[in-house]
Amino acid sequence: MSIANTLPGSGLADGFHDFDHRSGLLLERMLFNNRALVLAFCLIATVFFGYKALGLSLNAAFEKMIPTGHPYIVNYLDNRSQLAGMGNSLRIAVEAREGDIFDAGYLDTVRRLSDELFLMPGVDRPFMKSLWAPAVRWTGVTEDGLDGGPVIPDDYDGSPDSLEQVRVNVERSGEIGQLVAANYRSSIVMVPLQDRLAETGERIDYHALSQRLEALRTQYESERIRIHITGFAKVVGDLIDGLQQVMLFFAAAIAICTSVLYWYTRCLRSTLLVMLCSLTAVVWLFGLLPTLGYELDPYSILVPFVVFAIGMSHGAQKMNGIMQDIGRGTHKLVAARYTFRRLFLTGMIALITDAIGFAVLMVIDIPVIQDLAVTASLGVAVLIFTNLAVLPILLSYTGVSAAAAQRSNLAERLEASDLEHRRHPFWSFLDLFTQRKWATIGVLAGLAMGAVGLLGGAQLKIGDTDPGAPELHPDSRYNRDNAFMGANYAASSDVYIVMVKTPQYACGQYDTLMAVDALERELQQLPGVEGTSSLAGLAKVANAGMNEGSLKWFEIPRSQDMLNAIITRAPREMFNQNCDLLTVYVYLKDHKADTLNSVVGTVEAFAAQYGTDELRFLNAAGNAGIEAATNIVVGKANTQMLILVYCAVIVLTFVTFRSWRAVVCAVLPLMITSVLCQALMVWLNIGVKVATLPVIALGVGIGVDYALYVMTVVLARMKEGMSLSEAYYKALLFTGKVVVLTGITLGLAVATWAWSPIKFQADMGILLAFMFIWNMLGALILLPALSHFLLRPNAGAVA
Amino acid sequence: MVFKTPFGRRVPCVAILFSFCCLLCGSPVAAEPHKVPDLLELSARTDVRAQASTQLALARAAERVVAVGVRGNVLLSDDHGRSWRQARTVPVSVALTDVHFASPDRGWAVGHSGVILHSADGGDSWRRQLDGRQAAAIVLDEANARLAAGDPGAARAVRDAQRMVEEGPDKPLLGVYFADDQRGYAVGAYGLALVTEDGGATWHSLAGRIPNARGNHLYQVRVRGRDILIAGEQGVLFRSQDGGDTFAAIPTPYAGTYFGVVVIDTDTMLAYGLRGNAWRTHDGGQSWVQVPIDQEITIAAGRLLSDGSVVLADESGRVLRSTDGARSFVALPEHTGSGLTGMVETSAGDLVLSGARGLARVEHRKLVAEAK
Repeated sequence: MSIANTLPGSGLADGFHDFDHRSGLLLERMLFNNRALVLAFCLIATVFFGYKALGLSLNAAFEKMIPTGHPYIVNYLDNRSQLAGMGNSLRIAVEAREGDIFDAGYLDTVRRLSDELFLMPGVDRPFMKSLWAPAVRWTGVTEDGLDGGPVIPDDYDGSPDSLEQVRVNVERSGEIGQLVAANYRSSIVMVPLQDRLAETGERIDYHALSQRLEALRTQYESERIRIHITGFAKVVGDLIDGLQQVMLFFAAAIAICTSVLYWYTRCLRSTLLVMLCSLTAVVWLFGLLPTLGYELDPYSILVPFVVFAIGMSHGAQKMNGIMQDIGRGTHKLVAARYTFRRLFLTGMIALITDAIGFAVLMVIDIPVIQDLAVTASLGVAVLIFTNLAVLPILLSYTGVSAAAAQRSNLAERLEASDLEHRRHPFWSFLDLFTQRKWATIGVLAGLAMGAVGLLGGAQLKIGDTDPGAPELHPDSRYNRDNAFMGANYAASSDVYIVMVKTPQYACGQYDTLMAVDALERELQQLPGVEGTSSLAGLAKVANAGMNEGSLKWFEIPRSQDMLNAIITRAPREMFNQNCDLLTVYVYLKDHKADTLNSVVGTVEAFAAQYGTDELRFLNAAGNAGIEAATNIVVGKANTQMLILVYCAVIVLTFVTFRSWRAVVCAVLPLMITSVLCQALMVWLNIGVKVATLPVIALGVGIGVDYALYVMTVVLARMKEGMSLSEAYYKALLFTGKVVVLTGITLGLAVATWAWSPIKFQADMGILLAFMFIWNMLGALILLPALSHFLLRPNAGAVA
Repeated sequence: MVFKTPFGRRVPCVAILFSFCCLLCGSPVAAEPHKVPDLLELSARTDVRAQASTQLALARAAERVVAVGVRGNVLLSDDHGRSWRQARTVPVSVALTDVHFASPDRGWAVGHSGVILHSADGGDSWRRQLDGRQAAAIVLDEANARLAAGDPGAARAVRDAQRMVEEGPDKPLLGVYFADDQRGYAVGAYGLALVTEDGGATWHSLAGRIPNARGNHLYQVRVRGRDILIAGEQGVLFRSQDGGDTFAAIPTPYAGTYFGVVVIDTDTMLAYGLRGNAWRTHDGGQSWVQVPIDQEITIAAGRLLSDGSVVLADESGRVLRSTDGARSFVALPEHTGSGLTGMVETSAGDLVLSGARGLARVEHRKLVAEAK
C-alpha cells in the first residue's frame, strides 16, 4: 500500500458537514468515528499503567551486564560456585590521615567498621577479610618449624606493646600490598558479595547497599580517618545515585522541547497536547515494564527519554499538518482526519522501523542490551497509539488556537504564492541541492565524509579506554578512590581469572602446577600484566617457607608429599574442594581493550598448545575476564547489529517507497552519519561497549524518521508530476520544517546529557546529539542531492 | 614423475614434496596439544621481567657480574651491575640457586632438580653437565661401592640412595664452588654433595665422607686450596683440610640453619643463618662468640670485601656491614625492601645485591660513607 494512494487531493473539503465520515481507511474510521471511546480507553490505560509504574524498580545486576551465552562466561558460570568469592567484591580502604595504622584508635575504627560490614545483607561473610579477620594470619620461621597466628593477636589490648606486636605480625603476614598499604597508612576491608541474599534469595539492592556504605563513610570519616570504597557494587550504587539526576535532564529535555515547539507554533494548547501524548507514552512504558517483569537499569534509563523525543518528533508532524489544514480553513476534525490519512502510514512505518531497529539489539547476547531493546521497542510501539492516533483525535477536539492557525496559513501562502521571488532563503538554500551543481557538491562532500568516517572509524576501540570505572567521570569520587587503591596496593582492581580444570584430586600434581606456572610465565611477559598468582606460585612460596624461608627453595617442589602438605594449608581461593579446578589470577594494569585482548590471546594460544582433555585452560572469570568476554561479544555484535539495523531499515523503506532509488537516497545519508559517528567515537576516545553499542541503532532508528517524512512527500509530489525541485520544496514546507525543528530540538535536548555525572550517559548524549543533527542534515541535504542523480522526474513511474 | 634415490627405490615426487613441506612447516606435532615439557628439558625463555624476577645468587666472571635466579634466568652485566642482559642460552628452566666462576670464562651454576650447568664463555651460554637423576645414580653407585668395600654404614646409604633414585630429580643443589677450573664441589638438599676433578665431565658423591647422618640440607660450600668448608641445616658445619678426602663436623653452639660462612682468614670465620644468628670464631671453630645483630631476621648471604670489611644481607632487604673483622655490624640506611639472597663486589668496589625482586646495587661511596 503506497502512501500516495491515500493522499487527499489539494482541493480540500471546506467544511465539516460536507465531510464523509465513512471516507478513509478502516483504521481511520474506527478511530475517528469512536473518538470518545478511544480517549476513554487511553485514559483508563494511562491510569492503569501509571499505577503500575509505581512498582518500577531501578537496578543493575551484575549478571545482566555480562554475555551469558559466550563460552568464556559459560565457563565462568559453570565454575562460579567453586571460585571463592570472586567476581563481585568491595574493597574498603581505611586510611589514617595522621600517623600510621599501628594506632589503637585506627585499629578500633577498622574493627567497628568491619563488624558493621559483616552484618550487612549480601556479604559473603566467610570470605570477608580485614586486619581483624581470623583468617588473616602471619607465619614465621623458627628453628622448630613454622609458627603463626592471627595478625591481631588474641590478647590484643591496644597497648603500645600489643600495637608493636601487630606491626611485627603485619610485616610477616605477606599482606603488605594486599590488605595493608606498603606505607602503613591504610588497610583494606575486603567484602565479597553474594549475588543473591542468602536469607531471602533476592538480588542485592545495590542502591541501598551503596547508601549504607555512604552512611558508613560519613559515620567513620573524620579528621583522622578517610574511607575509600571501590568495587562493582559501589560503581552501580553510584550510577543509580547519578540516575537521580537523570530526572533533571529529563525535565530539561521536556522544557527545551516544549519551548521550541511553542516558539514554532505559538499555540499553547497544541504544544501541551504533543507533550502530553509523548509523556503518556512514557507513562505507559513505565507501567508496561513492571507488568512484563522488566526493570530499568542505568543503561535503559535513557530509553524513556528517546521514546519521548521520538514521540515529540511525530507529534509535531501531526500537529503541524493539522495546523496547516486548519489554517486553510478546514474544520478541526476534518483537518485531523486528513493529517491522519496523509501521515499515519508514514509515521507508523517510521515507528515500526524504529521498533525493529531497536529490536535488532535483541541479537546481542547481553541481558541489559536485550532489556534495552525490549524497552525501546515497547516504547515506540506505544507511540504508534499515543502519538499517531490519540494525538490527532485530541487535536480534533481542541483544534489549534486561531492565531496560530492564521500564522501558519499566512506563512504557507507567503512561501507558496510566489515561487520564484519570495521563497524563504533557508528553504531555497536547501532546494539548491536538487540542482546539478549543488547536488554534485553535496554528494561529493557526503562521500568524502563517508571516507573520512571510514578511515577514522577504523581505529574504533572495543571496550573501555580509560582506567578506573569508565561509567563514571575520571574525577568522580569513585575513580579517585580507585586511583588511591591503585597507588597503594599491589593487587590491581582489574583481575582476570583463568580456570584450570584437572581430573579430580589432580589440582595439586606437579605436572599440573608446572603447566600453570608455564602459563603464568607467558602471561607475565605481557606489558599489561602486573602480576599473577596461583597455587603454583603459592607452592613456591610455601616450599621456601617450609625450608626455613630460604628463597633458594623458591621453586615448585617435585615431591608430591611436599605438594600435598602445601595444598592442605593453601587458601581456598586458589583451588576448589574437589581439587579439580585451579584458579590463576592475572592482575592487570588496566582493562583497556588491548590489554584484555593480549591476555585472551595468550591464554588461548597456550591452551591450544598445551591443553589436553585432562588439563584444560579455560577463559575467563574475574572482572577483567568477564569484560574481555563482553568485549568480544560487543565487538562482534557491533558489526552484526549495524548490518541488521540497516537490513531492517532498507526493507522497511523499500516497503514504503517501492523504489530502490529512493531507498538509496534515504539510507545512504544515514550510513554516512553512522560511519562519522564511529569516527567521532575514536576522536573522543569513546570505545564501543555495553553503553555505547545501542547508540548507533537508536540514532539510525530516529534518523530514518526524517528521511521517511521528507521522501514520502517528495515521491508523492513527483508522482503528481512536479519536478524534483518543486516536490522537494513542497516537502520542506510540509514535513521538512518539522524535521529541522525536531532535529535541532532533540539534538539540543540530548546534548544536555553531556553534563551527566555518569560518563557513559554523557558519551551517549554527545553521540546521540551528533546523530540526530547529522541525520537531519543528511535528510535535508544529501537526500535531495542523491535524488537529483537517482530519481527521475515523474518518479511515479518508478514508484 | 619419479626420482631414483641412492637406495635404488623409486620415491614419488609428491612424497618428496610432502616431506619438504614438513621440513618447511616445522614439526607437524606442534599443532597437536601436548604436555608442557619438563623444566629440565625446557630452555629458559627470553623474559621481559627477568631483571625483576627473583634472583638467587651472584658471581664475578672477571669484570662481568653474573646473576642466576628462578626459571633458569641468567643475567649478565658488563658495567658493574648498572645494566643487565639475559644470557644467550640456558638449557633448563629450573630455579638456579648458586653460581661460581673459577676463571673469567669458566663457570658453574647449580639449581633445582639437581642440575649443574657449565659455561665456558663467561656466562653467555650454558650447557647441562648433570641433573638430579644422574646425581641420584652417582650417589647410589658410591653407596654400592662402599657396601662392596665393607663400609658398616653403607647398607643404609644404599637404601637411601635407592629411594633417591625412585623419587626422581626432586632434590635441589644449593651451593657450588670451584677451586680451579678442574676441581669443584656442589652441595644441596638432604646431604647431597658432589665433587669433580675434571671440570665437571664426571661427578662423584662426597656424601659418604661427610658425617651428616641426618641428611641435613647443605646450603653453601667454600674452598680455599685444600681447605673445604660446608654450612648447612641444624647448625652443621663440615670442614675438610685434605681436599675433600675426609670431613669433620665443627661443633657450634647454635642448632638452627647456617646459610653460609664468611672466611675472614684461616682461623677467623663468621657463620650466619636463621633469625639474625651470626657466630664468630677466631680459632678455626674451637670457640664461638655470638655477634650481636639488632633484629631477629634471617641472614641469607655474607661476603668479605676487598677492603677487609664484611657485609651481610638479610631477608628483610637490609645490608649490614662490619669494619672490625665481623665483631659488630651496622645496617646501611639503604633498604631494598625485599628479601635478599646474594651479594657480590664489583671491581669498582660497588656491591651488587640479588633478591626476591631482582637486582639492586649499592655504590662503594655509600657503602663506605654511611656504614660509619
